[in-house]
Amino acid sequence: MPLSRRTLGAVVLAGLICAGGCTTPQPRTNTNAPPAANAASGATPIPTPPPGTLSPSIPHDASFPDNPQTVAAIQHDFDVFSWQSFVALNWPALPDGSADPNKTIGADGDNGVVWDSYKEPYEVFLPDGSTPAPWGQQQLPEQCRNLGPSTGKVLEMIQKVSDDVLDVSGQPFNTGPLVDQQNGRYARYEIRINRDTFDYIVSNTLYNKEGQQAFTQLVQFPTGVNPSSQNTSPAPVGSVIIKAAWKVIDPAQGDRPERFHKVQAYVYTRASDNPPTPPSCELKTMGLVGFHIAHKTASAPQWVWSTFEQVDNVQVGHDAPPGTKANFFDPDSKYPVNTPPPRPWNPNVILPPEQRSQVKRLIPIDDATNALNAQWQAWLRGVNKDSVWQYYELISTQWPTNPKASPTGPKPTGDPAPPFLANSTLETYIQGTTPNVSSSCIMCHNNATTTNAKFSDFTYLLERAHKKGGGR
Amino acid sequence: MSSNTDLDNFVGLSAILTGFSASDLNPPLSPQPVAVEYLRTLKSKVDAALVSQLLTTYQTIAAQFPSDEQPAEVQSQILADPQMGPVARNVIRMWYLSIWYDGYTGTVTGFSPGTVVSSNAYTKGLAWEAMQAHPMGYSEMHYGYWAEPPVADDSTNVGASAFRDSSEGGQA
Repeated sequence: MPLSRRTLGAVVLAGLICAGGCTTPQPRTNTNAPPAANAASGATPIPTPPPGTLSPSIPHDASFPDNPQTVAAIQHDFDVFSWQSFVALNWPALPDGSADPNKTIGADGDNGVVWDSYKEPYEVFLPDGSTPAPWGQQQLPEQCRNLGPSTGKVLEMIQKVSDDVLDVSGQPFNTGPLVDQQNGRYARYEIRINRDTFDYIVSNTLYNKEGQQAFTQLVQFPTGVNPSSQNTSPAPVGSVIIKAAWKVIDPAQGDRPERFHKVQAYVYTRASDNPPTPPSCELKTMGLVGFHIAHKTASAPQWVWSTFEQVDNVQVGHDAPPGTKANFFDPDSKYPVNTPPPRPWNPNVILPPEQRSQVKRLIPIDDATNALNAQWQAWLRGVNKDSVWQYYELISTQWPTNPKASPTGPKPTGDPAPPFLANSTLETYIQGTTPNVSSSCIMCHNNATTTNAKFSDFTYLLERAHKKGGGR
Repeated sequence: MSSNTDLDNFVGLSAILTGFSASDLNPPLSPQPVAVEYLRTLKSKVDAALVSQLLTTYQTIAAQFPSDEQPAEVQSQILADPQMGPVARNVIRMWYLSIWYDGYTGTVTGFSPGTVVSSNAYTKGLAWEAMQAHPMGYSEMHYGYWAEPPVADDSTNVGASAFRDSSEGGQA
């Protein structure tokens, strides 16, 4: 069932919005224990997570209780951090965007989410380089103001990086759009930043080119620090950047809406000369298929990179009803795998079945992460057997094995583990294991700069800044 | 000799041969330990008995001599040996250039045809780290680094315990 979302345009979100950091952090459980079972009934056991596991508090950093600290042990710790973050970011939100402490993720099946109140880049890097509206107030792009009643978000990007800013890429580096099997429609993308990220950009005037030119320090976004009994000052959440991938959901075309987090969104396509395309906007039910979380933390100055997918993306996932088809793979299709659709790329065209994306995951999810996924999915199912959140899985978490590497030294990336990581909906066409070519979050974002070619601390967003008064 | 012991001895010997510390050559948390690839390459390219002799000789040196005396012992017992010496020098080249050169036997006067060990190794040649540069087509350094003075990197511990092979004009 489509969810009612915060109203865009007519309603200005008022009040202070906590960027996920206002609730008191709960003690987190980092356990290898299997889910506990409710043995009261003789039927399927209902798993119960340890208290505090499903929490609305975004973890400020990973915890590392394991000893010895091997790559596998630390990977597990970061994977737990990823799931904690996923749950907290997708926690039911109050009208001001903060997590609702009186609700539980998925208790109603689906729910509005905390990160939906985060700022989008178009709200921060304005065409005239002016100061963004304060946190909690939204600035719709001009082209969206007269499109009729606004009941949802605007999804414009058809590739992970917008066309006018070569920062993230059509998917990365204009490698091509992703087309779903059910509808033949392009996937859409959005990026969101949390309040710590927004405040850093605004307080340092990094939202326009003149401000970036005047900023002579090394760009260093806020770092998440876990609360400590030794430190009584508030511990910062740190910078969080979200990237989400969405597909059209239409039950008449075979989609299973009960397996997706959904929104009602304006699917907007800009006018184009090649191919000649008029602007268009449709109100569509969209389902979440890909979800990146980038979080700068004390243990990972190169940021922690978590990526999730809907379980049916490249193959039909667990507990699917008969007849369910994968979102981006058809075993009967002859279209070559991991190949973008034929040009010209026109988001308004519904592609025929024989040209829809055939996506294969080139690096399998490792066994330990699969086991952790099963555990968290069971816990989410324990909240509500109809929870949409049980149908998401962690692909992996990339983290620096040498976090102390100097950002100005010859090896600033800190030797990431795993060395390569791709989300099949966000880096579809750059999967693989070739250094500097295949998808690696840290290695790629290490190349990000400001508009005056200075290192921008692993985010390409600062390249979107315009001059004061307009223009590049 | 177990594989783990082989790796420990290979890394220990390599530390003396290259001048980089053992933890630099084989970081405990490395997701793609190049030392493992280099040892595998050595074993695939060189007669097993000679590899065993090389590693056992180093193991004996490490057990019998304090660390500050080990480089001289490696010089006299390994590099001066007509069988092990060329292999050890080729190991130095492999670490610095990520290439296994086929002509490791006899007196090496130049560079014979070789093979890049792997794409992972290609990015991790010690030559690049020592000179704070990068191989063609791969760089982690930030845009515009070429306009800035080099930054000292503590992990580039060249010279701290470096063994210089004067017999080859200091190629290492």
